[in-house]
Amino acid sequence: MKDRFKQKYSAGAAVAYISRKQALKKLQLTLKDFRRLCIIKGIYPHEPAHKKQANKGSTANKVFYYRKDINFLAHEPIINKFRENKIFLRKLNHLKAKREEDKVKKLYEHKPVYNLDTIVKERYPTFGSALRDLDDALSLCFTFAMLPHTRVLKEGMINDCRRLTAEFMHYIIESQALRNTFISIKGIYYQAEICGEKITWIVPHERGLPHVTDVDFTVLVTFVEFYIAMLGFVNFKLFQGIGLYYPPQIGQTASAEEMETEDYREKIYSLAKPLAKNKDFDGVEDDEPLDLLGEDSDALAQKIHEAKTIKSLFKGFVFYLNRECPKEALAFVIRSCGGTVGWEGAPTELSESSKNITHQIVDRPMNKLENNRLYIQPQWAFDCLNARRRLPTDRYMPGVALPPHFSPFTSEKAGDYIPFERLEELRSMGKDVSELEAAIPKTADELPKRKKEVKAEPKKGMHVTVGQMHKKSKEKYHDIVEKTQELKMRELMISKKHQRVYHSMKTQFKRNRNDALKLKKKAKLAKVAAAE
Amino acid sequence: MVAGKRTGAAKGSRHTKKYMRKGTNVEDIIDSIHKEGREKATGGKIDELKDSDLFVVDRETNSEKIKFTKKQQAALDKIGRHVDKEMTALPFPKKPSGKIAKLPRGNASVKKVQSAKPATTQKSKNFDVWTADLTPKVEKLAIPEAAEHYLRYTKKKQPNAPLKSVTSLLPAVQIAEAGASYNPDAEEYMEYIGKMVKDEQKLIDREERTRKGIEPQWETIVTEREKYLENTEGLHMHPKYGKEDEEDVKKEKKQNVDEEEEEEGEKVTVTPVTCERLTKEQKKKKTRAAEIELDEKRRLAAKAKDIDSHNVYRTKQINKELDEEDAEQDKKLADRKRKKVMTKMTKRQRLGRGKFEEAEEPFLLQEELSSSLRQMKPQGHILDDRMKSLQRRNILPIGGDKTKKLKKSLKRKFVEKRSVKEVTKGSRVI
Repeated sequence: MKDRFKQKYSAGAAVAYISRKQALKKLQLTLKDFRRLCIIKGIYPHEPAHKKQANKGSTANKVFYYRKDINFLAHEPIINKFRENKIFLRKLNHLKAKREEDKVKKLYEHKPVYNLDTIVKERYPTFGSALRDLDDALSLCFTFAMLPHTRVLKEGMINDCRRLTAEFMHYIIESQALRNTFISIKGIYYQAEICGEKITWIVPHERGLPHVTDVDFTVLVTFVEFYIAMLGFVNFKLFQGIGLYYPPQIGQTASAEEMETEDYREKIYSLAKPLAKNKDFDGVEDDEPLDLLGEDSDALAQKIHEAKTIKSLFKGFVFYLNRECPKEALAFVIRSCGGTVGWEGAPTELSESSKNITHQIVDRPMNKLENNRLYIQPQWAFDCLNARRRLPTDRYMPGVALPPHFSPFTSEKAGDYIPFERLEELRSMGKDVSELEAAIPKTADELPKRKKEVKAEPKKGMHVTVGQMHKKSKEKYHDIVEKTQELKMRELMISKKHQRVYHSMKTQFKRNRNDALKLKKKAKLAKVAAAE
Repeated sequence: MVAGKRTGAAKGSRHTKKYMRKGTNVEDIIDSIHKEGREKATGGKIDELKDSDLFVVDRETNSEKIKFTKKQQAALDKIGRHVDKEMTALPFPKKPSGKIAKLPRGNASVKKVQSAKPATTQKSKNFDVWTADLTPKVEKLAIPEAAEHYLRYTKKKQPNAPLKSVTSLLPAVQIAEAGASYNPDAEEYMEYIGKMVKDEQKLIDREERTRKGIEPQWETIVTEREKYLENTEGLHMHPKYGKEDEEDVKKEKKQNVDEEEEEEGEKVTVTPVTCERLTKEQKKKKTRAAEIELDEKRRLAAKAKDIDSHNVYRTKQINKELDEEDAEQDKKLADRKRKKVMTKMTKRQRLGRGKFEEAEEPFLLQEELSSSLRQMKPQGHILDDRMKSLQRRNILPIGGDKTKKLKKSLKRKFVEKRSVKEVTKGSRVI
């Protein structure tokens, strides 16, 4: 027999969702541990469509998770590690209070650690899915690599970020996958194309980041912890794909001990030297696929053509960076486009007086200039990459007012306003701009600016000003009020027959008046505009 | 011959030659030969077949499980533990029931050193996760189902992950607008800044509006304090008395207004209670109106019926119309569904008590814009941006303060004053 009386909240949204508090109780975790677990496992809250149903009658704003997700989390072996960690901390506290140094040391040796390998694979079953999620990972790791270490931000984590980001940049350089850059006031945006995926990330300026207060570092640290594990695998796979050694090597023969040294690491982080390639690796070189594709107008063909031009943009050029230039960004861009780069103290050992330097990047007025090289400001390198051609250097010389730095990420639509310089750039890139040019609105009406009220400066010393007067309200005490009251009374006296006519007349008057006012205003504006 | 009845030679001993010649049941033999032939034709002699070919080994658990008590289960487990074991030697002698002397400490320490593993590090070795097989395995169990069960039961292998739901379609890294360039084009910069100015203006306007709402519109009030200030203007005052600025005066004004408003709000308006009573004439009118209405209803119903009866001849058209309506409705439904998904995927969900606040876009003032990269002042913090992005993409919940509940029932507390306590039986009251 069917149940005649079904219990309320025993099916549907009430069962499909679970509140965070309930989840904590089910998993027997603290909120802090639960947050970490969710971030590591990639389980996010959801807003139920029927909140009241899910919340069993209450409308309070709670955090809800899918019950399925939480049931799955309950099987996670990391939970046990969290519990072990809790015990570890308790023991540590105990021993520290007792001041038993050697026992503390021993305890640290057995600190519980967990492995994220399986979770990385579980969250990203394919390499492609990991690549698609790289934007977040890179942006966070690049920022963390620049932070100072604190109690929450462990030094090991920051070092890992530094290492992984440097490795990733090396990969981009070696595979020449960089496509666009944009220097904004927030940081420098880069876009690269790896395995057909467009990957965008932001790198902060090398100025030392300001202090932030309203960011929960514990949350971000957990994200970074996972991303470090993920980036390690991604880097390994990427390096393998183009036949590089992993961990990266500069020379062919580098012992494991040598690679551990600070100097060697700094050499790799500097991005100045090319990495050693595995000789056994035979990469697939794609030669001239353009001929196969035939038409040049084909989007794919154009893409390949662009990639080729970027590859040989700075080929054969030797750049010397002056002291004040951002080294990492410039070395990254220049080497991605096939150039060679050096600076004072760089591992390439390029001295300023060297004869084979073709370009010197300078960001301050220069007194002594040499004849056989070009002097340019850093923006040139970035703009060249975005324009996919070597721009004329005369507009980028030191001391010259630079042309604006455009964002390569904005796509021009007909009807938008496009600056003159951008149009010229587009034209130089071989794009048809006649349509865009024609669609630019001809004139822009400039609204009159409101005059600023001139405030009298407070007088100094002994002085007298006009005192305030008591002024009675016009509205309350004026006879206007009486008049309107009288009018209202008369309106009330109107017979029903005529009331409707009266009101419609009244609204008509009002509308006409408003229209007239608007027109008057408009005329005024037009007059002002004409006068200006 | 009737089976079971033995006649003639068959009656005698079966070991004799006579029985072999005469007593044997030929049909039996023929039968058995037939049977054998059939068996061979269908797959082989049953006697020679293996058990596994003949029977299906049921490895699935019974849906109706026999429940044992804990004691019974323990006993069964104990037996089961040794069933598969091949005994090659005699079992070890049993432990003596008494206490064994503890191993000396030195030995223990040696053992500990031997068993101590090198400190496990989180750093995993370099390998390709996507080609490596990370699923745990058991060598001892040959039956795959059993191995699977063992791994799942011991939590060495996790259950299949539920489908991952996409939280948002927004890009992870929102690229700053062109106007945020360190060396922007003038037009783009103006456009970028214009948006921020608009927002700022909105904020200022709102503040202005509230200020206007608070202050009396047509009236200026001069307080005693203001009069006093006017009289004493320009005189040097002791800081103790003369600290208050015009702002304080303004505040006072506001307070005054508030008080006035409160007083006004307390007025109670009384409306007279009304009771409707109809006159005879009115009642008549009402009933008449009702009758007319009913008549009209009937007339309309009859008319509709008439029209309906005619509809029989235009069924084809009606069907067509209905189909069209259905198609339209389906289209609308699909549209609505798509829209719903899009809003869910692009808008911020309400996760947690807190409210999402858009981050303020960083900007440089016109005079701060530098001509070179060296002199540029970076603005904003990337981590702030990342946090907001995660929140916008519904990955992080936003916490908020819990609304405090007022205590509804207060606890009673009994206090006996000393003066009361002093009064006992027999004490004198003055």
